[in-house]
Amino acid sequence: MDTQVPRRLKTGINRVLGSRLIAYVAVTFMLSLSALQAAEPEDELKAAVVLSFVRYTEWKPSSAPDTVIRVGVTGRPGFREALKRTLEGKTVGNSLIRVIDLETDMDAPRCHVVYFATTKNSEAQHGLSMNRAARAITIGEADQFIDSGGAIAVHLVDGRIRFEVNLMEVQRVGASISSKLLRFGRIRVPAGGSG
Amino acid sequence: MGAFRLLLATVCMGAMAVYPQRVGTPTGELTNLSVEELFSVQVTSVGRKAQQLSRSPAAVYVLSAEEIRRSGATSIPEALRWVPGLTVSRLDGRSWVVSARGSGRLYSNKILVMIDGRSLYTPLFSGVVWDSIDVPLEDIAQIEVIRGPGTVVWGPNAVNGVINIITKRTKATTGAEVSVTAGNELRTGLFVRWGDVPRDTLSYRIWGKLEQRTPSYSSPGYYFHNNKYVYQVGSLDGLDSTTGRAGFRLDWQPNKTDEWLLQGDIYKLSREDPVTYPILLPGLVEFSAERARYEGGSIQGRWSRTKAPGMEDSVQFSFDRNELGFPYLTARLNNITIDYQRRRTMGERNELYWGGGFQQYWDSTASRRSIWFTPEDSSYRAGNVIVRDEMQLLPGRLLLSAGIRLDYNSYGNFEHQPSLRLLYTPNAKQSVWFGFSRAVRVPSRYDRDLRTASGQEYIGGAPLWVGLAGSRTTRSEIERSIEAGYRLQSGQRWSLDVALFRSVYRNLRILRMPSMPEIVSPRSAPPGLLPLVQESAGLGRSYGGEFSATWHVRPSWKLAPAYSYLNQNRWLPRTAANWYTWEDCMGGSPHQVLLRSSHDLSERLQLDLMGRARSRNKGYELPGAVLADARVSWRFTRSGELSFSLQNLTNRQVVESYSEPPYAAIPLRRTFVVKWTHKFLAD
Repeated sequence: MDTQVPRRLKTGINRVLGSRLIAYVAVTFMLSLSALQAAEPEDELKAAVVLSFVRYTEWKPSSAPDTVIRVGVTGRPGFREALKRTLEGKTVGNSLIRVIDLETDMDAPRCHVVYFATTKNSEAQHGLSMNRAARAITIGEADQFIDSGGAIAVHLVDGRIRFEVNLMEVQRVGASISSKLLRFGRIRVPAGGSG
Repeated sequence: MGAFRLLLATVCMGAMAVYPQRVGTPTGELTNLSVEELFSVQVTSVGRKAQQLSRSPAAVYVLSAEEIRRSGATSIPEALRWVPGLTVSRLDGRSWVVSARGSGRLYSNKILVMIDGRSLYTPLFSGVVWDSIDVPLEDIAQIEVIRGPGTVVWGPNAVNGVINIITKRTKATTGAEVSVTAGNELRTGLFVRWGDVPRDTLSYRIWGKLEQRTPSYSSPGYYFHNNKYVYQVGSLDGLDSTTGRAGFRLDWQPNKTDEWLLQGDIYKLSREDPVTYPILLPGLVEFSAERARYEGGSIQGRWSRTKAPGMEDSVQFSFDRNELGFPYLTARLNNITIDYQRRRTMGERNELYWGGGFQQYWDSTASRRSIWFTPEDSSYRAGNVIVRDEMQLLPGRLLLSAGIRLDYNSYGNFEHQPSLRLLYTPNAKQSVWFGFSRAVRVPSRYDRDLRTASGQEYIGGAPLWVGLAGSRTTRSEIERSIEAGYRLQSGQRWSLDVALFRSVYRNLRILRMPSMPEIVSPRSAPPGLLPLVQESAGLGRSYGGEFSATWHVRPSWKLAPAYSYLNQNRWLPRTAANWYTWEDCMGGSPHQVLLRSSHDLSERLQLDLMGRARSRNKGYELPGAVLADARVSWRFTRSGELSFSLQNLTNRQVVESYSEPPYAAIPLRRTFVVKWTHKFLAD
């Protein structure tokens, strides 16, 4: 075996790339790992913020959840999983939170909150037009989410969560958000809206 | 070679034995936070994972994209000026001194700079060519700065600090963005970017950037040759530089478990360099107006797979190539790195990190004048393994992080870099941390193979030729450091961060002079040569502290004061057989103060006022200075912004630091920049 230190690119690269060990490592990883969920680093944080919205929202008696608060989610698979881990089974008052994956559960009943985990405005607009989101507090990540008729837009700014809220939309679905939470966000009126 | 294979084999065997995992921000912790605390959580990757800043057992500062934008900075070093505890000195408008906790010089060799985890530290001369890594500021998500050793997490040479520039994910840069800049120093700046999300699993951006700078303004120019002689030019011109750069980034999440990142860039830079070469010091130098050209590019890929929440394994690959045409030397540098890391939760209390890496570097140099490497071409390889465990001694309250990094390189250096850190978080608002580390700076080609012909110098009343030579016996510089810190976050209203440190250094680079000059040739004039040979025998010590705070006086007004103190000293060995001297001058100011005021005058109008003060620079005998900057921005639509920035409001003609031969330093002047940015949002 040649034990001299290579001095040229060609020799060096051949050594490196020729190493069966490295190739073996790569192949081993690619083949051996099971398929489970991936989340964006900030997804856990966004999920915790959704929980705060659920905790600090009050519904009018006509639209109040009985014993189950249903939080629907659509979009990024990693976030859907993060939301399930964070919210599923938790209680707010006397109500149990249930997370409903709107992409797989087509027959789900009406949701109280719906989260659109997509940055694409067209997908968010399409989602907002769904019947199941019609009477829910809608939360989204797209740039023009509020302008598209959404209630709460969540953004990651400098590593921190920031949100904008359209109070008219929240009131329209028969809910109100506590000022304890609202003081951390910005109240927005959608483009073309009044007031 | 055997040791390399051993390292690789260790990495591989471990890789096959355990599933990869990834640790994100612990869900349980986040859901237990109050609303106030939740919205003050800042996500960072300081420990190579997404984590809360307040849970980092190290002196960390995160410079956010918003802070960078509001600073009015036009380059990364300008933005870094506002990081508490960093020393950032402008030399000639293109070159910078950037250091943490001392050892600041043109190419600071004890600080590691990275873009998305790719090291920019060159094995040719242990440093970073700042003007060749000018990432568009618009693409930066945040810059994470760790003061103090970061070797276990980030690698060797992170002796006094780590600067990790993290670029935005492509989903955050969709649509088009254009910014145009003009000013009296940055004459023209143009940045164009396009980003799209063709599928929810795939997103990309491409960008291009052009800049032209004219920092000279017929001011005096100062050439620092040694402690006894600074050559001064009455009116220095010809410091123009032009840069063109283009790049892309692609993020792909093909399925629920995998994430791929691919990014690359190419650049070309041309700058005028008026330089001086010593003929007979002190007093006689040769002035020469020359031109430097740098060009190169890089490509970087990362694959990560998540098996379960908080469990990740990742492989990162990078290749970069740079052709640096200095006035005195041309160098073609190539660097390949492969890095693997895995994380696994062991029971409820332990989080084990381990991995390994490999680096292949090769270069080709050619002397243009006075400086050369022997041999001209060289290659360098290094391998490493890392093991680190984070153990919850008291769950949620007391964390112990212990790790070690083992490095071996083809120079024959085998290094161990252990670190032990403790983090105590009695509640969500406060944290106290302690750290003990051993870190090394590995020798570079500069230390081993450099030769210079530094002209003649009067020594003992007689002129002698002076030449500098590297040495193959150069060893790694070693630092042992003890640190402690305290953080307090009072919701969103105010926060403070204090860190104290003490470090001792061994094997610092010094120059050995023989007690008698060598006779090179009786017929040459002068006949005597004083060879200066590098040796690893210097000792050093530094201690100090850093304080920073934020105070939201009103929701629309934030104040951010910071203060840092540094006391550094170093010693030459005592011996009768040889004389010793330092290879560089120890510049630096003991006291630095920063104050930033960020005021939202209305939803569309922002005003930023910034002040910075530093005490006398003892090493270079430069006076202290107080400087002020300001920026006003007007967001005329939801997607357009116009800003006006002024640096050095009072037009103080201050030299912040001297450069190194043969380069000049010029005083600061008042500069202004007008910048227009417009985003065209994609669907």
